[in-house]
Amino acid sequence: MNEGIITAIRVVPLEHYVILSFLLFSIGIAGVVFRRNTIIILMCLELMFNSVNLLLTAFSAYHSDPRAQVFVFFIMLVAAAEVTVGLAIPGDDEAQRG
Amino acid sequence: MVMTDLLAVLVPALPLAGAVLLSALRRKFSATVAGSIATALIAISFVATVILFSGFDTAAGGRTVRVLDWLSITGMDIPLALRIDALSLTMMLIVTGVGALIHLYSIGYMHDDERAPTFFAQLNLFSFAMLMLVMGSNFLVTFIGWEGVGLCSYLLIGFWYTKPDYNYAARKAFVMNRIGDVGMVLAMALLFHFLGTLEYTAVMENAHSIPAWGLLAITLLLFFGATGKSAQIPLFTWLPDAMAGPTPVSALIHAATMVTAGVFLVVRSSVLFDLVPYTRDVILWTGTATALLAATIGLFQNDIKKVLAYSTVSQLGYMFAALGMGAYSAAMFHVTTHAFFKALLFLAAGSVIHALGGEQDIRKMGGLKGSIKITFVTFFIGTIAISGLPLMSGFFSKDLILAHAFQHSPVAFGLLVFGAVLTTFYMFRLLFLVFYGTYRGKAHAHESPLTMTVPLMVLAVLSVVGGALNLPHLFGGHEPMKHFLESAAAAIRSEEIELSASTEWILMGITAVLVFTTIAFAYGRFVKRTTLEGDEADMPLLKRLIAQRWRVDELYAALFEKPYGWLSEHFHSIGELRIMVPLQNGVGEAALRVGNVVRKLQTGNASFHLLAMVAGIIIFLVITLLSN
Amino acid sequence: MSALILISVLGVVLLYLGFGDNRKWLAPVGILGLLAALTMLLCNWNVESPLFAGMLKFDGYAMAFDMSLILLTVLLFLFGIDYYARMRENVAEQYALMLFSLVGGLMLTSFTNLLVLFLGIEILSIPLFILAGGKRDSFRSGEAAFKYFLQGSFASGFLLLGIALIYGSTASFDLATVQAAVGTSAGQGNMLMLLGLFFTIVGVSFKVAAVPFHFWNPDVYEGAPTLVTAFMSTVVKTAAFAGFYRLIEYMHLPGAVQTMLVVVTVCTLFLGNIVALRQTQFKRLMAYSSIAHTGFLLIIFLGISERTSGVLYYYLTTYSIATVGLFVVLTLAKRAAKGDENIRIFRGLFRSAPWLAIATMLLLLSLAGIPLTAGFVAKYRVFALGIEAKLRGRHGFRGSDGAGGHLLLRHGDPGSLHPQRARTAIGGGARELARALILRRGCGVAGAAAGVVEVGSTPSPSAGSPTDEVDQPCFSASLLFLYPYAK
Repeated sequence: MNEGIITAIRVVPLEHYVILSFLLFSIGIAGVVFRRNTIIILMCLELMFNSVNLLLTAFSAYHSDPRAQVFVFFIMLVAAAEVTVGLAIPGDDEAQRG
Repeated sequence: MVMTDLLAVLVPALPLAGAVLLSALRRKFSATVAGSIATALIAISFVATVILFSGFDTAAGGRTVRVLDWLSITGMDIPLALRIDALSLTMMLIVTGVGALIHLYSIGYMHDDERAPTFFAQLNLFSFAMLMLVMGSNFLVTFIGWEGVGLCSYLLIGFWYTKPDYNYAARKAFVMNRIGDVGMVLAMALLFHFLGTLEYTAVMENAHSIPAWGLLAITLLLFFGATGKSAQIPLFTWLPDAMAGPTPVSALIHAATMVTAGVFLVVRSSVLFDLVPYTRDVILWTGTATALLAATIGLFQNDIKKVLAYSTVSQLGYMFAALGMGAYSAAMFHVTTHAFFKALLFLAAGSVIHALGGEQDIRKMGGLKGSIKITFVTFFIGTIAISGLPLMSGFFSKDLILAHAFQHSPVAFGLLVFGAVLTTFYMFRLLFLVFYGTYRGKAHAHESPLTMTVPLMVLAVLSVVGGALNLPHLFGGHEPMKHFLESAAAAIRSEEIELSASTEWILMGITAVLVFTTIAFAYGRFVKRTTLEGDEADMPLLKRLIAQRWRVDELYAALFEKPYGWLSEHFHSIGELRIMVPLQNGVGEAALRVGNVVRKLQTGNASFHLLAMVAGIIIFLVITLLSN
Repeated sequence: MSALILISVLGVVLLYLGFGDNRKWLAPVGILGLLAALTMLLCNWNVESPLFAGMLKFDGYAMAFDMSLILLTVLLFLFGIDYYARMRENVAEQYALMLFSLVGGLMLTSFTNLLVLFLGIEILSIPLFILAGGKRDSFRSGEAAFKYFLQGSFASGFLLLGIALIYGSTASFDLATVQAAVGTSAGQGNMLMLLGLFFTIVGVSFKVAAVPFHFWNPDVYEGAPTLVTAFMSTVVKTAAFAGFYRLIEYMHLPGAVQTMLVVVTVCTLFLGNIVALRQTQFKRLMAYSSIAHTGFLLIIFLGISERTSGVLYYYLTTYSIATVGLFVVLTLAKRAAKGDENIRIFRGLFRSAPWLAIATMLLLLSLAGIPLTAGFVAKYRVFALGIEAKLRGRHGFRGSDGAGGHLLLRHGDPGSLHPQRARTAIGGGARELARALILRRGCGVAGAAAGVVEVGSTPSPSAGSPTDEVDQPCFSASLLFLYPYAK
């Protein structure tokens, strides 16, 4: 990874990334649990995954270890696959969740 | 050695296979076919045992055949394994040999019974259990056999289950045995606690490391277990009642094999018993008391099988007395000869009963020696054998015990000699009342078929020559059985008679003279003029007490049955109905309600599920963090 | 590795086969392919080569489980020949999806890297989301699929969070490195590490349907087509447990996480058993039974020794074989009952099909763990392990589950519940049997947890490879359950 970017990431303390990720993750949970619209739920799932992505990237920068970023790509890939399946599953979400 | 192992497994496996086969196809087989199969299987077992025996090398000790891993948890390894050594071989020979003869006899005896295949299945099952008992390489395998023979005994005593009395007798036998079993279980638990193993070899090697109180408790408990199975005081009352079963059962289970299991167990654990003289004294006096008590009861019984039953209890008392004196090989010798002559007596009695169409009351017999000759001759041989007439098998075995008793304790010797006199008296009373004089019944006696008489003749021969198995030095022998058994139980090695030859001759002479005098007395009383017992009510007090079996049954009823019944009744009416049932119903209903509530949580609502998951995660997170 | 690739390719081949009118070739080709894959796998027996830069390792453990997974799939494909013959839709994709899912399962048994754990779980799950919705005209099926998808993805989020946190504290996804870090005292006190492990286990617990992450289980089992349900309760469950155990064996969990695992275990045992009593739908009953079995298997995790993997393997294999058999029976009975799945359809089975009824009984007895069946041996071994781990003293199992057993004893007695319902035939007793199945299990736990004398403390030095544990008598006992397929 470019040294400059790493330095830029390290300007913010690691704790802040962790806290932000947890917040995003929690927002994702809340969205999945409480919202009733399929699209929004899928978006909230994405939010959960992406908060983890953020966390991994931050750790990656702080550990100076690129492997976590590879992991991030895999997560994006899997998330895309999951959303595809989620959208393809037939049925009216309102009826299912009522 | 593979061949030997295979044979060893085959010995118990064949009767088991027979039991399974016969009970599965009991509706398809006739009595004769079922009987032949059962007999053939046990006979093959006998042949296998003989091969094992002939190939057995006493110098090598014994070997253990591990059949299966059975219980194997850390710190506990109990295999299903068989032990082949001198002791188990001796017992195996008796079980399969005498067993095969009795099976053969049963073909004739049970010929007309429509449930004969079931009978043979159970008889085979018994043989299997008994073989497991004697062949087990650890206490637990023995215990399986121990329980198995108890079960078969229960089944076979109650074989004619339509008669309520017989069922009661079966239950009584089972319960009495179970009481004894508690002792055995506790003893095993203690052994395991102290040594962490139940293997005989390991237990005997490490017996010294058990503390004194532990040894005392273990040996007493083992002996208590033995009193149940071998009908000793206090648990002897079931055996006479057990005569409700078919006569071959009485011969096999309640004379030759199962009841000697207690003796076997003590010999098997002889190392333990050798370390605790106190327990041996208890055994000696219990055995002596049983021998006398049962012998006295035998004097006035009128049922041919009951007399033999009390005689069995009495003879078992002799064996235990021998064990108490540390004369293990003498006890085993008596087990062997007793198996011959008592099986013979029972089978001959069965032949008499068979001949008279089911009559068992000796007051309605008499003068049968002309009509059923073979039965008479064999019964006669059995009688002189058990009475210990010189050169008969019973003479050698009983005399050995008496010699040990003389050396050990003159009082016990006196009592046991007195017991021997009583034995002679009641046995000859039986013989004379059944076969001499004039016939007092109405049935037409006829000799039994060949399948029944052949076993009688074989056993009669064995009863005569059985003494040769352990011929003492006095008669030019060198006690082969004792030396054989030494390889299995080291304690036997120290078991020597240190009496001078002349003392032994004198002892033998005294017993012989007493026995002959008694026979003469019995002859005068029962042949010259036939003395029959009248009603119990007319007897003098002591005699009535004896005829009523010392009222032990009544004593037990008053001491145990009634209080137990009372307790049970009140626990049921108060404890169970008023307290436990409402409580349990409450608990059950509560569980139902919880089930309903939890089921409602499973509503199928996806949001709710997610919420519950999150709630679960939070709760677990809190638990995790708190316990960190 | 060649097996992995072969199975993936096989899935694609089946998809293409589906374009023509070749449906009768699907299962045979699939089976042949799977057997070829199995052969390839076996050729590499004892060759422990790390693959993909050490992210996968086909060691003995993985091989044994892979073998079991592949054979179970073969069994299900055999079942599928008959099952799919009556369906109008194109079934090629169903076979293909099962194969893809199997690939995920194979990854789960052999991962040595948390990335592969994640990928394995996803590759295992995503095809299942689609398979669960396989009955296109059924509303329930679609609903089940959606629920499964939603909760599955949700749990994946937690798994990812956990993995990220573990990475945060150790800078590695490699299991061995993580293990080393957990082992140090610094690792034990590290909050990131603790949370990471916690969330990872939450994520995996979902896959094995441990309480409280089990909600998807009954709905999905009920909604999915029977063959898929069978697939989920055997192949997927085995794979998930294999992965779970691999994870835990590497991790040496800190005490706090262990405590959580104990609580999960107790809850799972409790809930699975109690709720199952009230189920009348066969598949839901199987779902709760599956949850209860999860509880049993979790007991194994509480005290890990060299023998644990063997016991796990044995238990899962016997459980799976019996379960496949029961689902076959269900399909047959359901067909006769015109689609009804209530357990009353088994009533009178003994009259109409005695041999089937006897086989069913054996299968149920095995699931219930009645002596002389493989299920009993499996349970016995679990308890033996549990006792070795000295659960009793350490975790206070005794009170809670002893009480549970007692409840169930009282409760499970059919007579006390419905005296008016007299049963005539053995088949009619299926429900009672199923109940007894649950009842015995409860008592079994109670008995083992409360009654068994604690013996010895040294763990037995036994062989490590799972296959060593499968000794002769047990193996022949499990063969008993192949009976239904012999027909």
